[in-house]
Amino acid sequence: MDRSDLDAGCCIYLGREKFALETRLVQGIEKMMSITKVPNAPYYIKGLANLRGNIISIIDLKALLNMEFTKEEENIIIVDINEENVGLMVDNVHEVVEISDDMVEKVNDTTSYIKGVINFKEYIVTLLEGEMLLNR
Amino acid sequence: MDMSQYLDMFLEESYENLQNLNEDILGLEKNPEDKDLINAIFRAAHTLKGMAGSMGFSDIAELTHKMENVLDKFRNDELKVTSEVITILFRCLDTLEKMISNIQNGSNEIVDINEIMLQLQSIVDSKNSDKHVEKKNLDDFKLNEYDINIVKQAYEKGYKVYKVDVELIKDCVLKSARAFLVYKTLESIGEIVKSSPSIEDIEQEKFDLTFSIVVISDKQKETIEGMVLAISEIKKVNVDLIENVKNEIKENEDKKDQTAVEKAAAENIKNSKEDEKNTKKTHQSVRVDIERLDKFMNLVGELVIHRTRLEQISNNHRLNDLHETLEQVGRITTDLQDLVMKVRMLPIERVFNRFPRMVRDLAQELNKDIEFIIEGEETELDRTVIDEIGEPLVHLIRNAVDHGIEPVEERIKKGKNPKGVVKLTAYQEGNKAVIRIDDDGNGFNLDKIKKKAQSLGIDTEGMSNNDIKNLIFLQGFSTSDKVTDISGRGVGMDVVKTKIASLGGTIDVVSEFGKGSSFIIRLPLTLSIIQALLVKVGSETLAISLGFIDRVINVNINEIKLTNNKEVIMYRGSIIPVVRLADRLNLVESDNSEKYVVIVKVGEKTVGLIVDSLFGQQEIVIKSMGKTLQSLKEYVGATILGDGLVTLIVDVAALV
Repeated sequence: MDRSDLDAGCCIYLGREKFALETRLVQGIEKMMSITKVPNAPYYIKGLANLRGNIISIIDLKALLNMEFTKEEENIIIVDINEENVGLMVDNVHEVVEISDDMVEKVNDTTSYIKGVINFKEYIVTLLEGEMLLNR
Repeated sequence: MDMSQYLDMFLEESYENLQNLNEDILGLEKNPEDKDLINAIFRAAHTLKGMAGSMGFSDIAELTHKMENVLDKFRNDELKVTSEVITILFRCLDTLEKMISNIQNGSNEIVDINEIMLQLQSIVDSKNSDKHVEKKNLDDFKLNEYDINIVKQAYEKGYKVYKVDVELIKDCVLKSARAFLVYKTLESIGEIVKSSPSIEDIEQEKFDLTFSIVVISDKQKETIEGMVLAISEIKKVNVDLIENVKNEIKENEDKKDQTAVEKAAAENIKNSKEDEKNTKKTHQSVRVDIERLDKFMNLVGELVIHRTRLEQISNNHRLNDLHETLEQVGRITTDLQDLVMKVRMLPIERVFNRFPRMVRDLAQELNKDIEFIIEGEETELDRTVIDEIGEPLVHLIRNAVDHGIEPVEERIKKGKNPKGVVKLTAYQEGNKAVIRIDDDGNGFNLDKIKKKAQSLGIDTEGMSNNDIKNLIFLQGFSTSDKVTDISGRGVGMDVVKTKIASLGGTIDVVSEFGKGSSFIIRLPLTLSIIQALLVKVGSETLAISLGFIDRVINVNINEIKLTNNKEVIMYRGSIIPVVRLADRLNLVESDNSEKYVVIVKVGEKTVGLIVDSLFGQQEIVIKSMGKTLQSLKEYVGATILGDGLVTLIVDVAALV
């Protein structure tokens, strides 16, 4: 197997589902912070937060992925999307898994921000395409 | 070799050189005899050529080389500086600029340089045959009688006289030492007649990278070249035989008496100019990436936030000794803040210096005679403002030249000076920077504006003259009968106003029909740290820039009246329209019937913003909200308050 298509994914819990984000995008994992609401902002933007002196936008990932609200999120995962740090609200972060390209099954889903599904036998993980999350 | 790492530097320096060329050529048009200027132009063109050549942009090098040929003719007095030649040179600069910007954008578009090359060549050729033009190769040196005598004697004895131009490499550390070595080398093979700059100046490093020496020697040209090049850190050496000195000597002798005086005067001027240059050079500076400055600014901002936090803690726990230290820290952070703000400031010269060229071109195109005056170009503004203010100013100056200043005949008929004056002034006024554009042209015709307003369905009845004049800032409002290339499409003024408002500034117009008009732009000095009023709307805290706020009053909800289905309040006899901030931002207003009205002024407009409560005034650092939220026009950005919470800063100009 070619090393270049080996990548690590950061597994996150969201409601009853598991998602993964490529670790190269992940800049850090934070506890829930106080978030300032931004009136008139798109529905999936929860607001702004102060990350060590920098203001970052916090994305309500469940809203973005059209998922139902289950419980208060515990973590914010900081990702670098198109050269900007944004925070994604997640229930919690689980583990880091190794992913190679051949493990990713393409899905027929038309939404561009889902890269594919990975079957880990015990559970399945949806791999997100970070760069596409905010492209709308 | 990978050149990409040098590309940025090349681009930046090229633009700088082009700008210098533009300015100097413009200056040359006014003072065609100014040799210093010609030399400066030559140097800039030469640097550009060298840089382009070493970066492998042969087109640019070729074009600048051709340009140099023309300049060389100026230098040698073989060509008179005429308006046509200047125009071609300007076109040449435009072409160069286009080529460089293509490189910057990574576009592969090839700019055709053949035509301009031919034009340049034709200048060089046509004037070559012109025998009337005197030849004077020794301009730079102004050989005096004594020197000429020596040269003459040398020729008589069969020696040769050479002019040796030496250029040191750019980062040569010991310039004077290198120059001295050259001097010594040349001295060993002959006699040095003259050097420019003088030997004393060379010793004191009062020269750029080039210097010239006239030497009498029996050696061959190539030998001298080789000897000089053997010295390290020499970039280029050019040895020219001074042949026509004999003829010249005769000519000079004829003119000797009268020219001696002139020369002395010229030398005096030259010296004083050189002094000026020297003093300018002592102004040392470092190029810094703007990103680093932004980061620096952010860090200082953060420091301010944490200081406020610490102060809160010290107050809560009544820690006296901590409080004292914090006061010191406070003073330092304030100084630091001032400093970082000053670092971000640039003189507005940067924007202004491209206008003389523009006005000249326009005036020529329109056949108008215009004197363009710039004052206060040293006024400093925040970099962000500098970057953005150019475009609106272009519009305004174009308008002044096109619509403002009348054609020459009309001016004569009116008994005005045929030469129109457009004046661009900048100065500081409190914490605002003011930019004025004045012209002594036609001014605004009120009736014409009124007519136009009526045709657009605007009722001008009861409007003050000032209000009527301000109608020109409306979209689609142009009173010009014909649309020209330059202006009159009616898209200009509203763009100008919007742009200036987005920078937190205002624009006003003052005009007297027949006498001229003035546009007055007021801008905040800085955009990054502002004084703001913190207000509460519903459960949210918002910041409003103090720059817009006229006054704050409190009203009972019953005092808000409806007229024409719009909410207004009466204040000191005037009716002020009000905007409920909560409605605009889809927030839920508190039930409290006592409200505050923040009266804001945006340009000529006065509007009251209804808020629930006030938190007081505070200095805040504006931070951008990031790409995802950039499309929200309601906010100029966000800030972090002392308690670490993020607070939105509303954009007053967009809300009213």
